[in-house]
Amino acid sequence: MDFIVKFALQNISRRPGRSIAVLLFSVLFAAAIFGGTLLIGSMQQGLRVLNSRLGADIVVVPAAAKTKFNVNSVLLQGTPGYFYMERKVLDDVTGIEGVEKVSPQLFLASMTADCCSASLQIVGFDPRSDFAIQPWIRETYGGLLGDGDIVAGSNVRFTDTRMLKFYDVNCKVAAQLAKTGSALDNAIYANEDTVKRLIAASQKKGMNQYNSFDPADVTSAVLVKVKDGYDIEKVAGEINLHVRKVKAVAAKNLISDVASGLSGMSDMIGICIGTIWILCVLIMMIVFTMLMNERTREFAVLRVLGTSRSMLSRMVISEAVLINLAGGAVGILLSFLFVMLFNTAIGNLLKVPFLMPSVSTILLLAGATLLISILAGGIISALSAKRISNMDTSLILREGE
Amino acid sequence: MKLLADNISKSFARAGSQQKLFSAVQEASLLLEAGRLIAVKGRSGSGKSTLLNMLGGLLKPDAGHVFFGETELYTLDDAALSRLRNQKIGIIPQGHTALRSLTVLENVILPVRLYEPERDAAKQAQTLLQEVGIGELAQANPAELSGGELRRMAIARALIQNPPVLLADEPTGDLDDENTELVLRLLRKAADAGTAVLLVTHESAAEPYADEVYAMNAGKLQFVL
Repeated sequence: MDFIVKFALQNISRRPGRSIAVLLFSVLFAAAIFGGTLLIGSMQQGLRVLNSRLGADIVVVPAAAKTKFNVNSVLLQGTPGYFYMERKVLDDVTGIEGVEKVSPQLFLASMTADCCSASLQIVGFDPRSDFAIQPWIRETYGGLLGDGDIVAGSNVRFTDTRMLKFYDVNCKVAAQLAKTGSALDNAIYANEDTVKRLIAASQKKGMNQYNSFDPADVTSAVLVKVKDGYDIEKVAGEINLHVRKVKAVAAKNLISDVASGLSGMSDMIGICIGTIWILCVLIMMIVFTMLMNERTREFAVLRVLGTSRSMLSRMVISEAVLINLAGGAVGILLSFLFVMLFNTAIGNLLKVPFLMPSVSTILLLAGATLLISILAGGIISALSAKRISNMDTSLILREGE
Repeated sequence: MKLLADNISKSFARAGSQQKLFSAVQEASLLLEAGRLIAVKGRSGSGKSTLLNMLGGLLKPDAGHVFFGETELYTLDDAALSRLRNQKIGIIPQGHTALRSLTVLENVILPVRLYEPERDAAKQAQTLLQEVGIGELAQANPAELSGGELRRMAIARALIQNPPVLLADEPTGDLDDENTELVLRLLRKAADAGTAVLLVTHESAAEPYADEVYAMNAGKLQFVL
């Protein structure tokens, strides 16, 4: 091993009090940077996935639904709920200028009762016209969903038989979706015919608050894809103007409610992390400068014994790098474990979709954090070492007396 | 091997004053030769340590030259000058200069480790520690040593590279009579072994051990005897 590294290790191990103090600070520095960035990154990732899952430019729901339900909760957050409008809305919306594709969705909420396996949001889609749900179902399930088949969100639990019961109708879990980090993970998806059967079963049991309609004549929402070149807001306005008893909302506005909450939160966390960063760098500068000043005499002795300026810099930098490497690794590990263990709780607490970034992104972030920790300590130490190297050695030794 | 100071001067700006420089050393010349011990005495602040540091390659003079043999010290870059100081000039700095993260033995070996980390100097260091009378403290932490023992450790460390030149800056400062005599005898022994020794001190106890005595007064160096 290189003498300078050995010497640095010796200095670290033989002055445990000093080393532990610097190490703890380094742990805090890395944890603040890595943990904070991971937290924001996870929220942003959750929002991205949520956005891609909605998959439509405009969502048309019954006008009454806007007041009776929190549409965002049902559409984006998977909160069990349902509302219906006449199916002919589909044709009315198709006729609006600028509309490229439409696809109906039929909702039903199962109940916490003997008839149902669990209280879940059930979403039915039309396999022929759907452009929103099937693309991400195909990521995990390549086949066609038959009658009675369902696809479960990642949080939905089922037994080895892969059967779930809704209003005493048995459904087979054909596939389970990947995690989104949002409440969509608690929903199940099926084709419209299956959901119509389930609605009919719920009506028959008197468990549906709407009993006066034929499930074949209604839809809960119409997802709209707008033609290229058309303004989404304007097309939504046209739908609101020409189609009665519906409310068309641009998807980005639906998401913006979540996004603005997220943005506010991520701004706040960003400010906190920025403040912690600045404070950490300032404190690190003060700590290392104090540490270097405390060791001025030691460095002067090394100069007297024949240590060159560059050797002295390497000694000081090696020590700072070793401590910050260890402290950085511990800080990263601790903050990663914290976010991993409490990510569901954090997501619930903040009421935002929370999805950890990919392993490669996490590794990249860990590497960058480690690099920043090492550079911060190394540069501050190197500057102090340079300052001390240029001082009058005899003066330092005299002053130290 | 000889160390020559040729008309060297050094001035410093006075702390807290915007005017005038303080002249620490004025046109001092000194020849330090193998086997001789030169004592430079003077009051605190008279410029003795500044002179020693210029001779040791630690402080560049404003004027004049310092030659180590045929080499003019301050024409060397920092790396070469540091290496020369490590291998040819043993310096005993003022005060307690042990590194606290090292044992006494490791402190003595440190100059060797800087440039020859593979060289095993433990035996030589142990012998030196025996010679200066603290052999039994080799594995002790410097914090456990008295002032006199620390000075003796510094002497052993300065001698570990067998340097032809030894510069001692107030090596007996704050020591009791017994330790003062012990340290001076060690320096005399080094000179008798062929080392060129320069001793700067504010005490007159060193005079009997010196071959030549100079006095430093307000930056001026004068031969006394």
